[in-house]
Amino acid sequence: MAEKILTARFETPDSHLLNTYQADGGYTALKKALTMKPEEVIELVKASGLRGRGGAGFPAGLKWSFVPKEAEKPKYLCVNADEGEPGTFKDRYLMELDPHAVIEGSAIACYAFGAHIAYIYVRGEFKVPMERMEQALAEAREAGLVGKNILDSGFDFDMWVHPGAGAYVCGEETALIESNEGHRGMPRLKPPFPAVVGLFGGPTVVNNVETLAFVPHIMNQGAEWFAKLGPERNGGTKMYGVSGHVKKPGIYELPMGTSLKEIIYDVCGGIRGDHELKAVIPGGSSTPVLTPDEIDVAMDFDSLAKIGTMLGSGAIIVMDETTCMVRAITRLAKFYSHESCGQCTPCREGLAWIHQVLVRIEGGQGREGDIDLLLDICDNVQGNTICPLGDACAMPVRGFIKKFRPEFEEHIQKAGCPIGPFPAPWAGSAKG
Amino acid sequence: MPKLTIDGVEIEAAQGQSVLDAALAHGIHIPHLCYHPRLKVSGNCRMCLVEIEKAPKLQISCGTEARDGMVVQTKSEKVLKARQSVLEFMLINHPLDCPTCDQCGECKLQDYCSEHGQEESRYGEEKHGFDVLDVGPDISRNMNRCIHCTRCIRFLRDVAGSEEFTLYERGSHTTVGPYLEKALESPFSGNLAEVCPVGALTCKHFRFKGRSWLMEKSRTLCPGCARGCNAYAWTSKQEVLRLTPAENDFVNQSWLCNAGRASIAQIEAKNRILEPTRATAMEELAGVLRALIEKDEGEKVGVLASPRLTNEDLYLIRKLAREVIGTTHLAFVPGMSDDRPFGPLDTPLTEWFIRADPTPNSHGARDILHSTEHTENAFDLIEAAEKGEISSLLVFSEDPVTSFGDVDRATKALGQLDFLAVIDSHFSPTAELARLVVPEASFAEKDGTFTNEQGRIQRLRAAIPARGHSQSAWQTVTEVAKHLGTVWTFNSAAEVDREIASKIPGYQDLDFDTLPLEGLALVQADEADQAEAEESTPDQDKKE
Ligand SMILES: Cc1cc2nc3c(=O)[nH]c(=O)nc-3n(C[C@H](O)[C@H](O)[C@H](O)COP(=O)(O)O)c2cc1C
Ligand code: SF4
Ligand code: SF4
Ligand code: SF4
Ligand code: FES
Repeated sequence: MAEKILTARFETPDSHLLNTYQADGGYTALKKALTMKPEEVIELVKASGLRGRGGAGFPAGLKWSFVPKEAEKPKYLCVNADEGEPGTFKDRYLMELDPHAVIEGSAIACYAFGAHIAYIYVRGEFKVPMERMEQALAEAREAGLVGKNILDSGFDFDMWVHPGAGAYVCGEETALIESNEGHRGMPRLKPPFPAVVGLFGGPTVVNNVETLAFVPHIMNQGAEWFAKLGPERNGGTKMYGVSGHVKKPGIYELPMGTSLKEIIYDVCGGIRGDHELKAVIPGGSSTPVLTPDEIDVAMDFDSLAKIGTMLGSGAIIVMDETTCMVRAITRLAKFYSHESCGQCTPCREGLAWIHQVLVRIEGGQGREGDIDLLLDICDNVQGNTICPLGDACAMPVRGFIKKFRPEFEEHIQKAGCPIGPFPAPWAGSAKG
Repeated sequence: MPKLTIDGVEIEAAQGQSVLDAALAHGIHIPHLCYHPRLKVSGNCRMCLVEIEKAPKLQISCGTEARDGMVVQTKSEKVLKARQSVLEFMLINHPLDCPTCDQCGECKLQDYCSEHGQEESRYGEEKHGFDVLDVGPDISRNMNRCIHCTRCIRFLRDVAGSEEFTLYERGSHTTVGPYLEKALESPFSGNLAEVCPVGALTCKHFRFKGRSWLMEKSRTLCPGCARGCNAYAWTSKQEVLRLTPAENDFVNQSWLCNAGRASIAQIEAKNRILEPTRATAMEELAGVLRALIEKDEGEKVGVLASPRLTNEDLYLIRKLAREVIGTTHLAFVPGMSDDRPFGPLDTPLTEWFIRADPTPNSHGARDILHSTEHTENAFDLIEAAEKGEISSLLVFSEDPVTSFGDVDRATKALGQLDFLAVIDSHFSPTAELARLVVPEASFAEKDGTFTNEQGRIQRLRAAIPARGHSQSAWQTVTEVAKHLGTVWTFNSAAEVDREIASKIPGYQDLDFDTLPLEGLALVQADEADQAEAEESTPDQDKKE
């Protein structure tokens, strides 16, 4: 199999401990970075083409360069470890099995854009990852890698774990900042962007765990090496999290741009039993669904965008022919309508409405015109909200209807689900 | 200054102004709900979405800074669809119970629905039914009508200075309210009735009392303290049903305190004085005064006037005392001084709004009564009664028995007088001791002016006819003077003001009929000199 970078130490015993990490060259990248000028570090990361692994694929180096050099208020790094998108389960392993890589990457990032404090906002349910991060930070602090004057460089860097407050929306960068400040996790209006006004009013960078974990490797092995691991503008490897009806679900680190077909059939051993592939969500539940004839696609930001979907967090959800598409999207709509923070009208009301209509269709009470109604509600939500959570529901709903419209129509015509009755726990309205 | 084009019209915005503010300032109405000119922008209702050239998506005009060269469409097809859909979303869970809603007629949602709404609802699912929750003594909450604009939260947190409301739950379960039942304690909570754009938060005291379009409103002042908040008195069938804030950037912005709103209770209070002790009270009062004046003992009359009275009342009381009775024993109870800044400030209302001085016209009383040769304070007057220096006392809207601080001593001192008359709107312990009681009009029944703590002369307007035989003190005093053979020609507060303007320093610009809505700042003594100086050497630059 191809080169493993982030997951290389995953099998090493005690991979989460400082001496294991240091024995494998850990913290040499930080040492190296501290001898460079901060701008040089930013340039290097820019040149590597490292794109954010949190979903949007925004170039990390560019994001750091937006932070003003001089600022009245302290600057911060927020490490996004909220990992709430259904299907996504990669960051938790990085924190559990290689927490020092996350700390080292964070320290280098802070040095690069001039922050002295990083918070890692860890999803509240992630008990073990949180403990591992705490433990690693304690070790690093003891060893002079975190704290005042790290590695005798004159640079102060501190990092704290902030337990998440239990909402998917807190993974959205400005909601994360609000929550990190101790407020209700609700997205802020942009502008101002976090790089200018973020945590406690200071310039702030929000980066995903996986994004930051790459940084030490880029320092050590160079920008070009990283860029060449994947297709153009999509450098590096990617941690793909595969779940659903494959034989071997799990986390797989593969080069960016590995074909989806290869991931499903070669890496994950194909579809379970003698079932057939019916649909794949390629990048976490908010990304539009693909049909079997579309899976010959390179799993990178640009190639997926070309076919109308997204790499997102790289969470691949595979569904075989036993899956009712209406039921699947109903379940997702329930998630999004439940997770809407409730502040903006189209998302708060529209998502619940979408869910209610879907529940009816799946439950055999679909009406003529429901499908067009759904599409119109999606239209009215999409692009009209404060944060992308509204879109994150509208996009897959549209996607499911676009790809599987006959199945929705069949539900309405037959007044029920052709695959079987709706299991009780999924029924009930969003308001129940 | 950025120049932008809105719906084809080129306008100039102020630096840093939002597209919405700029549009509104130029008479272009963009529907908006969560935006409130005095609250932080939250951008959550999405009602104000507009199309801006080169922007990939519709943008909220309330949260987008107007920039040079922007081309904005507020009525394009895309904008209208978004606007209509936002309304549709809002109505999903809205009961549309307008006929039984107190907001009816003043509801922005209602207005926008009739302008932009769809005829028929496409929503065929079940609506929410939220439980009723008692949030506090002044405000009633109906969550079913809430549009989640968070104006209430922002008002309480950022303006009133009490973080008493928050959002609960998420998604379509989201509710807005206090942390505990009945926990809304802000002394400014009454403002929520106006801050809330719909009927989710309404005034408990006003429930089902009247319909906005069936009421009349007159712009007047709150009598509750030395701020002199501008207010509308809403009346129906000669009854004042509520006070709501009138905007004044120099005084109260858009707010009133709860105590101020409650001052309408005075009008119909049980202890209201509506009739004089006897029909002949005025003659009797004049008789007592005449006897003293004839004996050349006018100096034995004490006069106590209240800073609750208008400038017009106070001026004629002074005139009666000085010119007709001939006494120097003219006193008023000075208001409590307040060393906090007057504002308006951007800091929480709790820090500056309600003034320590609970009377509306201490400044005016000082200006008018202190400008006589001799004015005493109430304490001196009680002492004068004790020493027998005065034998008669006229008390205008004061209650020295209570306010003196030593009830027994004050009662005893007043008991030594030959004659005590009280001219007041409400019975008080002092009135109980009086030989004669004459009714005074309440604040809602009189015209006149108050000078607030900051020295701003503002207009009080009669919202309803005076109850019973009550009238303004200046009218009472004019009658007394007439009985004493001095005929004044004052027929209105405006006529009294003409004389005030000529006699009282600082009041030279006062003209009752043309008094600006935002009031008139007193002319300061040194300013007056300066104005004169400037007139003699006109400063061309300043006129630009
Ligand atoms: C509703 C919502 C949830 C999100 N959840 C996460 C998350 O759990 N983890 C994450 O890294 N990014 C999440 N994001 C993306 C972040 O807003 C942000 O783009 C990302 O953390 C930036 O990091 P990156 O540039 O390193 O990718 C979410 C975005 C939205 C709109
Ligand atoms: S889109 Fe949804 S989650 Fe995002 S701010 Fe609006 S209501 Fe909240
Ligand atoms: S109660 Fe009124 S002011 Fe508060 S959020 Fe609801 S609609 Fe807005
Ligand atoms: S602050 Fe004073 S003037 Fe204003 S409403 Fe309250 S009592 Fe009335
Ligand atoms: S008025 Fe602009 S979003 Fe509400």
